[in-house]
Amino acid sequence: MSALLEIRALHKQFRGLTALDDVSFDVAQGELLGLIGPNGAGKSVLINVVSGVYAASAGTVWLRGTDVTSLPTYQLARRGIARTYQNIRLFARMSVLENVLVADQRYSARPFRTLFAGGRREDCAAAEVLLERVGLAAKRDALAGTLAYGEARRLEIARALAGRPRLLFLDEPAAGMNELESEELAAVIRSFRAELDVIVLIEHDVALIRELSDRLVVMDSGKVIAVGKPAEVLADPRVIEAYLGAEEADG
Amino acid sequence: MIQDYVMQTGINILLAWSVYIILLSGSLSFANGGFMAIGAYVSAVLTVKFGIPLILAAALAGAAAFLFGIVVAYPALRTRGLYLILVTVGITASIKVMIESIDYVGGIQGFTGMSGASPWHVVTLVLVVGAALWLISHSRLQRMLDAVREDELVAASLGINVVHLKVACFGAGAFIAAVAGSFYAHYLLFVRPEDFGILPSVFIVLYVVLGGMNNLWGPPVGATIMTLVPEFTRGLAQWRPTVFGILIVLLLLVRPDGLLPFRVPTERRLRNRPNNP
Amino acid sequence: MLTEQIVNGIVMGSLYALIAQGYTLVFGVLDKLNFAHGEIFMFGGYVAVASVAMGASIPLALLLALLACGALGLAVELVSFRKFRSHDAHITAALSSFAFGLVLLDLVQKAWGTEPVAIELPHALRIASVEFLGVRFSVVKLAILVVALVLMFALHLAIARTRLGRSIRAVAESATSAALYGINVTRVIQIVFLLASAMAGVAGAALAIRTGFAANEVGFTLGLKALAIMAIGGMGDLRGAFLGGLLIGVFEALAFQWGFGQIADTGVWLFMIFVLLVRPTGLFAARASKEARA
Ligand SMILES: Nc1ncnc2c1ncn2[C@@H]1O[C@H](COP(=O)(O)OP(=O)(O)OP(=O)(O)O)[C@@H](O)[C@H]1O
Ligand SMILES: [Mg+2]
Repeated sequence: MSALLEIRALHKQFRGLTALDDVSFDVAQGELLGLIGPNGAGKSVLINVVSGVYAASAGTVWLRGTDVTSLPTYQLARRGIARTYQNIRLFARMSVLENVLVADQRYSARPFRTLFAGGRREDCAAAEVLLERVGLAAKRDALAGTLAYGEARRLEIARALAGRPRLLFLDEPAAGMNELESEELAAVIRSFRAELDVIVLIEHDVALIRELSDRLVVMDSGKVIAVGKPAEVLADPRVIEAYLGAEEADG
Repeated sequence: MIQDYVMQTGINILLAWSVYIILLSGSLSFANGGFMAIGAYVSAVLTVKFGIPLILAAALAGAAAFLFGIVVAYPALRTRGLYLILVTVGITASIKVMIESIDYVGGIQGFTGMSGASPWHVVTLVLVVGAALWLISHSRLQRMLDAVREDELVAASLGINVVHLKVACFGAGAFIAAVAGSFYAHYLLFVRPEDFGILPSVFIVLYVVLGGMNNLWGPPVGATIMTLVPEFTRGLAQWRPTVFGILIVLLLLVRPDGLLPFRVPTERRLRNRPNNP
Repeated sequence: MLTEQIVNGIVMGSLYALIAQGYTLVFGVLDKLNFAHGEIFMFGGYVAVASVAMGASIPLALLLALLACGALGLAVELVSFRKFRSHDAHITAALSSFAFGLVLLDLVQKAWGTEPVAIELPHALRIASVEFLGVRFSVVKLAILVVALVLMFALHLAIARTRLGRSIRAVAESATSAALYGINVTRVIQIVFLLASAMAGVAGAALAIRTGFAANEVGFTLGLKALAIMAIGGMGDLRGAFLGGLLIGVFEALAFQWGFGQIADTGVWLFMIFVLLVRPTGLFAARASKEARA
């Protein structure tokens, strides 16, 4: 059986800079894939290409056997791809509830026919359930721009899930969270696993990634340098070197 | 006299809303003076040269501007921010110069012979457009537009067809500006290309910005004040433009987000939880 | 005849370039459009008329226009831009400066009327000409061209070579980090408005001297055209504004020569739209625009 998501020889060039260099890997049905690598490795660029924010320079993304590489962003979303952003991008002037409601794809697919459609109370109830699950029920009517950092990250997840996606890409959802918050976040992510076909999780917090992922893909300088079980991959000398090298360069 | 006030205010409210509708999806348009010109001239030609009744002519002129708006929107909306502003300024300037060079509609001399618009036409239209905007303002559509206006990219990654919405808004704005232009032409009885240049386009945007662009009430409030203040400062007759200009500068300094800056949430606690205040 | 038209085009183009560089300076530093710029340019013509009427020489009239319009630039900055520094305030700033321009236009009309006002140049100066390669050139036109070129070259040197220029470039790059390096951002922005408006003032005065009168609609006609030229050359790009100005000046002169002057006006705007759509960094820019970051 072929994998649910196949990434084949993906390249992304920004003028001189090669951000993705021949990236290939598969993600299977039901998998939670950890995507790690030092800063600037190309993890975010990979998500941006797969979710249609950037156009690939070369290569193919197969989703359930269909080539989706050059589909526009909104069509990828309608095929079940949802994501969060490393630098939080909520609709700051809309309320928390509205941020979730707006992501309901039953309406975004046909915006002009929703004017007289009923079922608003049901929509709200569903959105509230989601907010409850990420622990934001109490903030329902707050403006998204006023949320604390950890809350904003959780709202991004709720918004991504409101479109009932099949694949969820999380770009450093625990960044800037303290230990307690990331524990809660891990619980939230685990609670959604069964409802999604695939979760791809970018994270620098090794403890979190080891705990959550079934498999790891490690990137460095735009290339995939290791794929495998978390314990094996994290012990791989090349992976350790990539991280240490990055740390030395930093310090 | 009172008829003139109603007419002018009503037309300016429609024009302000025509900019507001485009702004719903995040694009600021200085092309609406040009759309108004299309409406005025197309409807005038239809009534004067072909004897078509005014209402039908206005609708056809609106449809023409709608099509024109959609056709230019596809390329134009690839630009953003100040670049889009310049593109729309360019659209207005080009439309004006083109009309000036068409002898069939009188060129620079202007075009005359039309009549028959009454304040009732405009008042009815204001009510209809206002009701439509009110309906939208409480809808899921408004929510999607707000999302597009705040962050197009994120909106797209939530499954919203951003281009589709933006182009539709542009077309709708062009339609309303053109219908307003039709009634304007048939009320003034005489139009010249320079009635529709960049200056009117900027003023329409000013109505919206001074009134507030985050809710449907701001634009008509801005349009009304900006139409009537000059009328009622006739005592200052010869200093009017100066007083008017200073007033705009001061208003922007004191209320940079407009007189009515608030945004109305599309879903509120009170609406959905009647038993749980 | 053709040479003469081309020279006329270059002279007019150098004035366009002077105005367009003012727009582009402000845009480069603030990312905002100064809609009062055209009227400041218009005002320069009236300063020249008034100075000459009071007995000033032509160079003095140019200097006075430079000073008066520079001061106006400071006023525009204070009233229409100081409070609207943030990125999403660009519409507010544009409209506020537009209103400033309206006031200026109205005051000029109060003072000098709505009809063009003639400038009294000595007859000898008006007809003075030199012959070069068998073609006669008017001294006034050549002088205007020289003044415009010298001013633009001086601006170029100031931006490229001086400490002030470094500060301006730093603020254009990022006002926040410029402030961290101890640059007085407000002062730099003031200087930019001063320079931009002073150049527009000289352009206005030069135009009045060249045509023999000051007219109050030029702010709206030529001033706006210079805005389109700025976009054609590349927003924020001084070299682009210079080349764009010359290009449009010559293009218009030739269009006029060959009898389709009317169309040239639309041509500029359509050309601007085309450039903004196809090459938003401008006709003469070397680099393509960046892909938005997510
Ligand atoms: N829009 C862009 N334009 C130019 N270069 C870009 C762009 N986006 C990313 N890059 C470059 O691509 C490379 C990979 O960046 P990316 O954001 O994917 O790294 P990352 O692995 O997500 O790192 P981090 O852990 O810091 O988020 C970097 O060198 C970055 O500067
Ligand atoms: Mg990243």
